[in-house]
Amino acid sequence: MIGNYWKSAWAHASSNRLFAAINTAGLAIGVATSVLMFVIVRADLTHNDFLPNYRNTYLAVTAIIPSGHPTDYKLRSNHQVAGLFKAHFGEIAAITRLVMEPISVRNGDVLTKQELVYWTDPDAFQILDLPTLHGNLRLALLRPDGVVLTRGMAIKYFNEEDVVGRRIEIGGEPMTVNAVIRDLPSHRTELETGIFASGRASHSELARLDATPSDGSGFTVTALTYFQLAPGASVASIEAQAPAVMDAIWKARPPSMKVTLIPLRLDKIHLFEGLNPGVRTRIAFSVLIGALVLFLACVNFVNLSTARSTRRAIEVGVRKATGASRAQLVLQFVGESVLYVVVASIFGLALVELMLPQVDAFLGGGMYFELGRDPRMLVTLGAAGLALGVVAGAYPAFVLSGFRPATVLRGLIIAPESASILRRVLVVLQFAILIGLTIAAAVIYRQREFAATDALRVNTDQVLALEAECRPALMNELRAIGGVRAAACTSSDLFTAGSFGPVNLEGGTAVTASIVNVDSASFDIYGIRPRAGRFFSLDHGDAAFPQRWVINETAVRTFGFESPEAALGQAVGPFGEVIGVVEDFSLGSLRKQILPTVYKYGGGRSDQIHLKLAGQQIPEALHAIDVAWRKAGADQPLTRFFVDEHIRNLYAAELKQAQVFTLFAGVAVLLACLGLFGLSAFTTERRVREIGLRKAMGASSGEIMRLLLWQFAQPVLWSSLVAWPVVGWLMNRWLEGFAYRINLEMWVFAAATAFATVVALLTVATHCYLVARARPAAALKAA
Amino acid sequence: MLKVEGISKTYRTSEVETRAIHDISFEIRKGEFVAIMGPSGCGKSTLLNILGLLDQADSGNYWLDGANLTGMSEKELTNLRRRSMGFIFQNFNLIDDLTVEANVEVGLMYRGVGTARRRKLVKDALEKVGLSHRARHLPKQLSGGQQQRVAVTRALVSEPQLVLADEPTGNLDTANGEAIMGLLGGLVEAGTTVIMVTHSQAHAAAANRTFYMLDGRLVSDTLLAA
Ligand SMILES: Nc1ncnc2c1ncn2[C@@H]1O[C@H](COP(=O)(O)OP(=O)(O)O)[C@@H](O)[C@H]1O
Ligand SMILES: [Mg+2]
Repeated sequence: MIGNYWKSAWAHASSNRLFAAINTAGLAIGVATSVLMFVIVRADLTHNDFLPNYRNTYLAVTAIIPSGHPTDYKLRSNHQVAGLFKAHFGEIAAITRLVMEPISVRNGDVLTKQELVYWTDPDAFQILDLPTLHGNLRLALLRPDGVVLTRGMAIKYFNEEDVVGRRIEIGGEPMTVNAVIRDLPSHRTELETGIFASGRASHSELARLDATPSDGSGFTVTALTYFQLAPGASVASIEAQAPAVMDAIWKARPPSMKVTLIPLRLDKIHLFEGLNPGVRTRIAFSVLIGALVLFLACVNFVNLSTARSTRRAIEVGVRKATGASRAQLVLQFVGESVLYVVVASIFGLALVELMLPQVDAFLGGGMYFELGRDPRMLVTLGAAGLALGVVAGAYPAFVLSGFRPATVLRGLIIAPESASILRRVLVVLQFAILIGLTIAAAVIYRQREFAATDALRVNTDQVLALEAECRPALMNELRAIGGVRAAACTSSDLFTAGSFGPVNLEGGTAVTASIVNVDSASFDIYGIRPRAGRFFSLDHGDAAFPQRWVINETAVRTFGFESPEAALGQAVGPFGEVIGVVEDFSLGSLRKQILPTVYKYGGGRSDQIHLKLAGQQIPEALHAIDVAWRKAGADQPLTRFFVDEHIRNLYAAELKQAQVFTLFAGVAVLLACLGLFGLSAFTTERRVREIGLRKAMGASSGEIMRLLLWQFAQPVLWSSLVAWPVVGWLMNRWLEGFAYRINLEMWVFAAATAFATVVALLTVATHCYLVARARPAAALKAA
Repeated sequence: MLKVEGISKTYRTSEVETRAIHDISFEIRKGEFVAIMGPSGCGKSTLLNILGLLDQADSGNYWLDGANLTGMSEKELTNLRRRSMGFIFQNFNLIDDLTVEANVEVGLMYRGVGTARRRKLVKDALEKVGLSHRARHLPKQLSGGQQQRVAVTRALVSEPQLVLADEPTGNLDTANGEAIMGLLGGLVEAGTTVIMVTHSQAHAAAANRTFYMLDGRLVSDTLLAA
């Protein structure tokens, strides 16, 4: 019996190959896409869950709150926090610090000059109980020469995995590998490197920090500080008292600035908007698009299966007449569509297996998909597949089989009005999704381009930044290089807006401003011209007058000046005098608002040198820069980067989202096309007879095509009506996550609709052409 | 074998009410070959469908092998159809996607015949109607006459006691029609009861009893001497 059902299913599939292929492929793609999205989102939502105690483990994140400005969050906190927490809070069961340092690491010939190493408190692995491959992790860092490597690092330096007991040089000092742990899933942890060295080592950065007394005039964020709570303790009381702890560290805190510590549970760090702006929207978008693609695939599947099965009314009638019971027909037709679901799922899951490594590598690792090890997922997939199969097979199985055979065989069953309305609604919905995704993809892409170029309002082409202190000898060497057009001593605050200071205004109020040290060439390098007044210059001897300020337009407003011109020559705060105004610009993330900024010349810290290179001889210039660096007597290798690349990296997450989004939007478009193609194949097929008659009566192919095309263009127009407001609202919400953003433009919407119309017309035109071209006799006979 | 008494059926659509058959009574004995004639729309197919349990009458009684079918459940009716009936339709009603042999096999599908035996029966039956060489073809690759022979084979292969044929020759030319009549004649000789709707005087003459219908009523019942 089952064998015969199988034969019938196979016969039906092989004589309707196009339908079978479209139906299976569409569903397979839908399954693959949604499972991939699920895996991606799960990785986002389960950060650090490979640590056994992650639910009770927190990271102390620093929050800097300048009054009247958005809070700035730092993943790290000051290295004194751990000691103070431990001393003040009985609720804390354990606390540990990891301090990262780029340092030379070496085993024999394998040498990395700037390897990232975590100098770690000895009890770190009590809290971060990472999966161990060799050695005893908990005891590994007790001795001052202890080192823990990940498997990857062990292989990198020793070319083998079990290297417990081997020596490795860190910062020129020999240390001992005491444990090897599994590689860290990079997308699911904030830990950035695979070398952990005992902070007890006298040459460690951690020991150095602990040994350096602090005068409380400022504070730095230096350590990842993890802690665990005692049973029953609540994190809220710690959070409440954290400002006092920070006051003990930063004794000279100005009243206009607050600093506190926020305990973030390990799995929530990644989801914290302050550190990872836009992450929630990104996840929501991933979920949404995964759901949409799956929805499209399922709708297509049910639609096509149902449309097809009306052709099988005769089969149902004949089988009933020869004695098939209703249960047997249900079994046959539901079984058949379940079979399609199973085949499609197998293809879909195979596709996931195929694509996951690429997606994982692209998005940063840590994703996994093991159906066998995930019985809940298996059951969910199975149940969902069965449900889908039942729905798709419902029409012949439950509806057709319920009629008396005489009725079915007479061909008297006309799909009820409600069914055809439902189908039309689904088609409209499908197009709405297609249009919506097209608009969303376009907006995301345009915002990203805007963020990386226009919004900066500065020219970052061929600007190279060196991580180097500004010494006159080095500057002279650099300026002498042929390929270097200009060089400027600049603070890295230009990128990070990391320095703040209070500015006292008339009337006694104080505001916080971002402070950036520049020199006479800094603005010039970025092609920035004064908005009013002038910039710093050697001719005016500005270097000798640290009170001469250039301020940005936001500062003009914040400080209460009428216009940039009005600010010129005015005294600000106790020390400042405005000599020039610069347009608002930012080399940092556009998700953050531009702050009122004071640019100073000289006197302050300048930890970077920015160079404008000539376009032609970049490699030669880079080489000459390295030579100059060594000539200036530096022992550390030079760290340098191109500013435009650096800025693009700031938007890496957005870029990846845009790419993934575009890809999946493409999939959705493909599915919508497949669905439409299949559906129009069905409708035109049903109308072959009508068309045959019309042709017999003398209608031209052109007239018939127009008739059919109009039928399919209509839903696109309806779909736009649905899609535009919804996607407009959604994309507005998304754009609100950026302080600087593009406007939603009407033409993008119109273009998406035009695109959908073209898609609709193309798919349908193919069928129409094939059908309309047929001779009338053939068309009539085919019916 | 079968007996109906006062059966009527009325179709109701939203606009019109059509009285398809009205107060029909007759009895047919085992092995009889009955032809039903009458103008188009007089209710022949409706009557045949009711006799074949493909449809139900609004009123009246129907006995098959002495059992009263009125008020039987859908399930019991399905069982009866499965055990004792075969159908032949004017438009063949073959399943497009199945091969000739698979179509014939459908006639045995629901009768609890084992796979191997089913295959053999199908093969023998196709041989009998001279279509063995077409066993693996699809219906649309066959001529109308051949298709109807496949449909007849599907009805016969399970050796039903009662065969109901609705204008089996209606879509066929003379030669093919004769071939189908030959097959039905063979059945009757083997003792099967056959009820056939036809418009052809000549084909009706092959039967040993002719019903004539008009406007849903049975107006004459002519018994021919054998
Ligand atoms: N399902 C139906 N719905 C409505 N009217 C029907 C239906 N089937 C048959 N009829 C009507 O019942 C009458 C008898 O039909 P039918 O039994 O098919 O006649 P015949 O087979 O003799 O040509 C006709 O008037 C026909 O239009
Ligand atoms: Mg009829």
